[in-house]
Amino acid sequence: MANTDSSISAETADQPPSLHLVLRVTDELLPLFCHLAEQGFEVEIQTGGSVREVLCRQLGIDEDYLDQRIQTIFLNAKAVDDVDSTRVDSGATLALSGAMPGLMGATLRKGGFFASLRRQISCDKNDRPPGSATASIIVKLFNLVAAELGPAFLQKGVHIKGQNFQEVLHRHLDKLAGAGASCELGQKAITLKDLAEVDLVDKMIFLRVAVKSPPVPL
Amino acid sequence: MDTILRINMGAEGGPEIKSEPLGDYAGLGGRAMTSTIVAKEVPPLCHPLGEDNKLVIAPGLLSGSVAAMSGRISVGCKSPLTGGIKEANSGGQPSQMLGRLGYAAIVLEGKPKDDTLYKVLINKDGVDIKADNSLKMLGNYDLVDKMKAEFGEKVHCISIGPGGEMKLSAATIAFTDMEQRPTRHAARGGVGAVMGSKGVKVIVIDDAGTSTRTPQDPEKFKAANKEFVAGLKKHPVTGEGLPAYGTNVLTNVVNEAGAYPTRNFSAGQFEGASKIGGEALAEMENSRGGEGSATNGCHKGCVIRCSGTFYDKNGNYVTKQPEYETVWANGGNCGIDDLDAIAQIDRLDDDLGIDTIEIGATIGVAMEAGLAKFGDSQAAINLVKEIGEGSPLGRILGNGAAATGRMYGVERVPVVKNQSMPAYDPRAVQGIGVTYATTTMGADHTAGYAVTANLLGVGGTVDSLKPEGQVELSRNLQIATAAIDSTGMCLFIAFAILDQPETFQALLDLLSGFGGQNLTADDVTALGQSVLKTERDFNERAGFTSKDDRLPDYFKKEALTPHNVTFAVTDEELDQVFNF
Ligand code: SF4
Repeated sequence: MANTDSSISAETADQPPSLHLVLRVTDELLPLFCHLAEQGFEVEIQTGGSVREVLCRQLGIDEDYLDQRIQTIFLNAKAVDDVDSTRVDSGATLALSGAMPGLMGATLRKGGFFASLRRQISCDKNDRPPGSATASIIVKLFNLVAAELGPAFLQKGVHIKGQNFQEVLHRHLDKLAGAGASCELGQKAITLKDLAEVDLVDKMIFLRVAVKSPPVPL
Repeated sequence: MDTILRINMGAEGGPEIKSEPLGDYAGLGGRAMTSTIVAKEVPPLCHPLGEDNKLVIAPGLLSGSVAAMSGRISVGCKSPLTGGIKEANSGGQPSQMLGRLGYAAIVLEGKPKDDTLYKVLINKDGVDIKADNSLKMLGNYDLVDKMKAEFGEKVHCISIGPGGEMKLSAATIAFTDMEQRPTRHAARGGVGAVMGSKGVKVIVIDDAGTSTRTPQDPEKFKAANKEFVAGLKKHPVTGEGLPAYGTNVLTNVVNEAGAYPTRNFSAGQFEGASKIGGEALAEMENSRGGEGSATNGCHKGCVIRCSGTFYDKNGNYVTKQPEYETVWANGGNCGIDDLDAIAQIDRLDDDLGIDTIEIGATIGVAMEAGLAKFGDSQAAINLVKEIGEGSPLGRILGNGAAATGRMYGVERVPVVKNQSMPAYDPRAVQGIGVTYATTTMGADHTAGYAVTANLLGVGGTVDSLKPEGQVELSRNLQIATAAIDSTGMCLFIAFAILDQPETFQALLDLLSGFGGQNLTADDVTALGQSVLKTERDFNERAGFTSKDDRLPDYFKKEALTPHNVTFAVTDEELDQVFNF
């Protein structure tokens, strides 16, 4: 990923303010949280740009990475074929995946030979003149893309559903505690055990995962 | 591999064993072998469980050699589920072993006079068959343990569980994997019921004292194999995605596309998908650890290794890593988001010898009928156990989704030619719906997997953005799939040969180097076309018409969320698929 000034740490207008949470873990534990990227996190973007503009120039994903590694993209559950002519509007959900196996994988691939097999769920090109505004969208990262881009997003910080975080925390509590992970909620230190007791179910949280080794460069 | 082994189970005085040269079947392997024998020797109007049906088991063309990915095996017969021709294929060790023993096919024919159960031993000294009623109603796992105790620790098995003995239409034939567990199955179409009807419980294979098959042109073969493996390893799907996540990597992506059949095909997205997807499964397997946990092959010589091993939270072996279709059928399709429960169902299915896709689809229909609530994993497990007990309800369920739907008056039954659809909703991905509708096999996901049409040059090039592209692509894919199935190669090589022309050339060179002939893309295409024509012709003689090449009516009427689409490919378009 290239450097970015994306505002992924900003609060969103139509959501209750997020609880700020910082987790400090050793770098080998960072992948445990990549599962959160599959379920989606909110980021704030300037709308009206193309998929390429949003992913590369606003969120800092390398263009080569987008062209070669991200083989399957969905915008609002529709398969994207052309990242340059498909625009991202307010409230969109953008999901990114590596290449998938089988005929289904080939069919869903961006601009692939089998695109006509799923033309009913293909993303139309959006020819309306772009109207630019600041708005939030949801980004989901799957499989290899989650493993490769997830850590960088997590280290920068992401808005996620509290329930999703809590499920991951409960699943890995022993492992995290055993590896000396620490955390701060709203800038106050809190033990992992106490954090696991906080009811986050209906809350949004802003999670930043800090690693005790040099961070992966964005 | 110059011998066909025939065992006539109905011969006077007991089973009769005959080995014969290949004759007209020379040069055929895998699906080409099974479908050609069935089409030529089985009367299309016979009862699938009667004396005239034959069960054909055929290794791929390169099985028994050191060619990578060459250990798939095909099973063919007239299907008790669809009433048409069937080819079901599987991984596991037996394909390589039969290749080394020199068998191009095993044909079980005739019908025993009584319900005596037999075991067959094949080794370098020949073939032996013995009655053994102590094997009755043994699950596949206990059966394999018993055979190992009797014939030695290194043997492998081709077997049926209670499902096959009960002649259920969802019954499978199990093939032991590298760890000698009965986890690989020729699963679709009730092939296990046909083996049960022949009275054969298990074929034990011992290849001690044999050696790998040698190619006609060793230099060409060796170079091509090296290039082929390098091609598979460098491709992101076969070299990274499949080994890391297995086929279940598709769950989140298909769900995101709104094409994930949920709660018996009543919606296109499942809220619990991320809990059962390949990413969650790999994380669980990696954290639980154990031998071959997240990455493993289903047979020696597989370099992709899309499989793995599922251990429970205490580290006890449960089953192999469930595949995408299994996770879907018994997961999202039943509203279940618990991987441990899905793995338990997979283990039960493998042990009973029943098809995880058909049974998952059946439980979905049973849930719709009110026999259990969607999402109730314990109820789903109990329904599978009921099949093993052979109760009246269990026998209804074990005969598949169509039978269950008829018994309980359910309209939403996702089948074509009585076989349940796999894990993609044809309303969202309509090109795949074309294949479901028209394949000779009944709704089948593998019948549309394959190499690209333009690489193989099948039927000219297709403009993929034109509406008619869906029909043309489906036709070309079915032809190409039939060809790959006939080589005995795993279909997952498709992605690498789709994207990398040099890897496709390496595959052709591998086949040519082995057989000593010069194989071209046209030859592969011609093989695929001829297999499909043979199968189609059998089905026509069995009474199938174009009216059978249709999806159930509700797919045209009930819109699928979130895209609110119905299946819109016309009957006239569907009828074009077999115009070649
Ligand atoms: S890729 Fe998977 S299915 Fe194919 S041979 Fe290897 S383990 Fe078996």
